[in-house]
Amino acid sequence: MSKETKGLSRRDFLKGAAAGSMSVAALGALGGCASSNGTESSAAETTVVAGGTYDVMSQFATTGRNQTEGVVAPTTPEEFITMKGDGKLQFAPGGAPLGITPADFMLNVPAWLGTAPDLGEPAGTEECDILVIGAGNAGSTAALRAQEMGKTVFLAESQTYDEYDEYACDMACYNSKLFLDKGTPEIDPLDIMNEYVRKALGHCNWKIVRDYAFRSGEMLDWMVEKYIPADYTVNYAKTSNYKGNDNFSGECAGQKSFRGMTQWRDADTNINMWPFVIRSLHSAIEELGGQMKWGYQAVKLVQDADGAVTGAIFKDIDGAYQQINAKAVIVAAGGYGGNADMRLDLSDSMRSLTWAYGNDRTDPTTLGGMGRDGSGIRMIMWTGGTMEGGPRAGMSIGINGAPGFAFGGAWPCFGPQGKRIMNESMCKFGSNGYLDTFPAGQLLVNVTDANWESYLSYQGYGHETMDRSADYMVEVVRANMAAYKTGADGFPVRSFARFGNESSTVYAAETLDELADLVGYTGETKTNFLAEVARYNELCAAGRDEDWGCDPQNLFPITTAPFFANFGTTGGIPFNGLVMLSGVNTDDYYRCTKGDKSVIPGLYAAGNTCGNRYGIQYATPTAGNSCAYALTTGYVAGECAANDLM
Amino acid sequence: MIDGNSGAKRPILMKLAIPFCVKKCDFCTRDAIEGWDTKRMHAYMEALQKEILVNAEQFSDCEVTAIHLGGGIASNATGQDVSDTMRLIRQHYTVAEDAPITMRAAICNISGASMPFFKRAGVTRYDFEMMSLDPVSYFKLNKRDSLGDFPVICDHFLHSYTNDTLGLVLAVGYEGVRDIDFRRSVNDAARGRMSHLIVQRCEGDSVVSETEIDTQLASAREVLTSYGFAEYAPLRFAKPGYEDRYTLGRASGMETLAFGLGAKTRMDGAISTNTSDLATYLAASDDFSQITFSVEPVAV
Ligand SMILES: Cc1cc2nc3c(=O)[nH]c(=O)nc-3n(C[C@H](O)[C@H](O)[C@H](O)COP(=O)(O)OP(=O)(O)OC[C@H]3O[C@@H](n4cnc5c(N)ncnc54)[C@H](O)[C@@H]3O)c2cc1C
Repeated sequence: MSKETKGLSRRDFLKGAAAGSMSVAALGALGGCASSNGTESSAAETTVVAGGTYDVMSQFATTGRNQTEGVVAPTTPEEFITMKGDGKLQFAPGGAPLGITPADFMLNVPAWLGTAPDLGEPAGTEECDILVIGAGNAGSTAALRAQEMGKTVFLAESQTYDEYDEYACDMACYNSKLFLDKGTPEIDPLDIMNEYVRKALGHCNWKIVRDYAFRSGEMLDWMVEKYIPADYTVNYAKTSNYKGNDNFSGECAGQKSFRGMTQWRDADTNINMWPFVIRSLHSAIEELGGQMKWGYQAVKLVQDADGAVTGAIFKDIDGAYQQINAKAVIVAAGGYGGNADMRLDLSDSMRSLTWAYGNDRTDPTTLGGMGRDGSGIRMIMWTGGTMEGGPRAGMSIGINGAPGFAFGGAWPCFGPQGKRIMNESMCKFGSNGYLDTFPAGQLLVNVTDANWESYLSYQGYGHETMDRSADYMVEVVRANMAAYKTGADGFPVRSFARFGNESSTVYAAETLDELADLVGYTGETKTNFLAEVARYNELCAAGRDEDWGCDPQNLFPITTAPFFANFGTTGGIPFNGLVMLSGVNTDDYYRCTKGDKSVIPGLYAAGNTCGNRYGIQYATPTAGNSCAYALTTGYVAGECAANDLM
Repeated sequence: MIDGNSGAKRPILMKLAIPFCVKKCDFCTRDAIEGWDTKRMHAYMEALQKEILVNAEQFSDCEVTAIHLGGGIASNATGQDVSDTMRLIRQHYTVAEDAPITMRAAICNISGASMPFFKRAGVTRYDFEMMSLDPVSYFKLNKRDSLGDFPVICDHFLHSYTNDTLGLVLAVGYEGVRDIDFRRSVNDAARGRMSHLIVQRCEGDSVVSETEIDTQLASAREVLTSYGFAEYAPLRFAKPGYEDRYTLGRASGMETLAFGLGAKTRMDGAISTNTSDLATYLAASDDFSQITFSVEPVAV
């Protein structure tokens, strides 16, 4: 970039204009855009990109209607059987070529993928055995595990040491000593594996799911016993059986839910401590002889003539390129939730939901995502890797479509007509699609009463209830609820529908009639609401929800004042979740594969870069499984890479 | 001496016009580059960097005491582009060490991909254009962000429980948004971790009467005052000590160096206005004579 000014500078003009010695017309004389009459072509013009030209609807509407001679429908069962059994295949006529060219709807190389950049000669080159890209959850365990197994490991991270931040806090690991020693019952890992596979509708790599079910507890104990300072674990690892749900049966509406979440928080401030605690793993890597490469942003992988991956090239914080050669590379650079273009193309299920509201199909901001930039996935694909098939999971859960709501069905939910609309104990498993069939702006109201806390003890361990993940948080919620205020302004309760340090507004009333007014039920909907609460209370007394099948253990009447509600509406922008959970295809040992399922030698993926874990939608048999899954895949992938080099 | 200025150089403000808006809201008349186009946004940020660089030596007698990134939703630019731009400014201009950097932003742009770079850029204040926090009116006023994301962004990315980075923009006067909806929105904002708030008057066809706006504003002022906010400039509210230095500077007539599409520099007694033609700007942002639309003495 040049610093040279062309002709007169802005400052010269400013001074000249102020002194009256230089006119705007002089600019025109220089060939500038100023016009002496002070007019100009209007505002910023948008570049219009020509789209496809094919009109699907007009073509489709005329295809195959009464156009095939000799095709007659059967009128009797005998004729039907004869026609089906005559050995002739009958085709619907249709099939006229649609004349679509790939440019109309599908590109072989998606625009977000592009091609690997040509970077020229790097400023420096270093060597190691195993190079891990990304010092998040998966990368940190991958690097430490491989280093511990005797390999020389470099862990490269695009953030600098000072900038470094991580976002997860809840961590679901099964059968760890940390839990078992506190009396948490052991869980059959096969149950865990099967539940996750079931939630993925089988659209997953079973071995990777199995690793998580069987080895996440081992991984947690490994970190805690060997590398995390004991006082950090004592002070910050809250394992108090998530949400105090002592009465929960272990299964809800046919879905299993397991204990095992550790939440890394400081009790005094409620601050998420994991971004700090994870640094103990980085220190351990260095103590064992590995290296942290902070401020190293991987730009592309290096391949030899046979296609094996032999390193990567990084941009350092000064903008210089650095190469690191390695015998194996593990990419753990997170997902693509923070890359708007990839999100629009790959996040197919959430994209369809936002489109279903008629939102602009070219606007990726209407399907938000908070993860990383997808660079890990792109780099792998440039070497021949492939992306997991769709529909692809975003981290959306429960009744996320309704702003302001608790994640799932902690309380009975009343819809726009004042009536219940679903099995609330089921919706933690995903009801986005259902709520998105409602017109936008329809009221959804959660209601509970003075016994709210005892009801919670029957809730499971997923994201189906208000967040009171540890005892000290329960105290805060209790205090907030006890200090309730009636009236139209509501009152703040921490973690009622939000979590962490954020509070949400809850409305309180001494009668259900007043509560209905507060939340906005009027006229017929108010009558409906009051009748529906009475009906709900009858169902609770009977112990069976005839209407929607709510799990009997979650059927609690709304009878005792004060009554509480919070509400949201349908429509708007769906909650797409925190990260994207689909990634590249690998074999059972985290080795990246090509389209023909052959392995790309030397290349591994872990964490959200690695696909085939969640299938169609994120699920929370235990809250916090995303982070722990990443940690576990890293732990096992590090082991696999080290073993392959033995 | 203005806050943050060392005294040795002339204190000025700096504005970077990053006028991106994926879709204009029907209550906002801001002139912006519409549509999502990653390539075009990157090209624009490169052009902006060229303009910044080519002007640098001309302003070596000045010290920048506050920077504003706005003119649209500046956070639509990638974190990397924003941080590269800020690095360039720090390399080539004198920027006061404590100069606040305010960014007009949307929560849909905040992620693990952008946040590390916004941090690297040194952004100290975010004005999130949420427009509403009340679930009933939200979907009418914000067609870009998921309200469900808001607490996550505050808690996990801004760490707003300890930082004072969070600011909000809320819209007042939109037809169909009841007084109670607006009041609930303000209540939610005030109870949260926000340290400053801009109330934006709706414009266009779907606006309620002035009397209704006044009623809504009176209610907002009451709520905000009860939570310790003061109106330090018209429709700008902040907790004591969190007033926007850029806004205050503008109000007091401080000189402002502005770059980007349609940017207005006010300095040395004159105002120079950049072209608002994108093609011209992209083609010649490093040539003052090509991109300047007008230069006029400041009216006295
Ligand atoms: C706000 C938020 C809160 C969350 N809370 C929870 C929670 O409580 N529990 C839970 O289970 N899950 C949670 N998640 C999800 C969880 O954080 C992720 O699923 C998990 O961190 C994924 O781990 P990962 O190692 O794959 O990626 P990450 O942890 O994101 O790590 C990827 C790392 O790679 C680096 N990187 C990216 N690109 C490059 C590159 N090109 N070169 C070098 N480095 C690169 C990144 O800077 C980052 O450090 C949360 C997510 C978000 C956004």
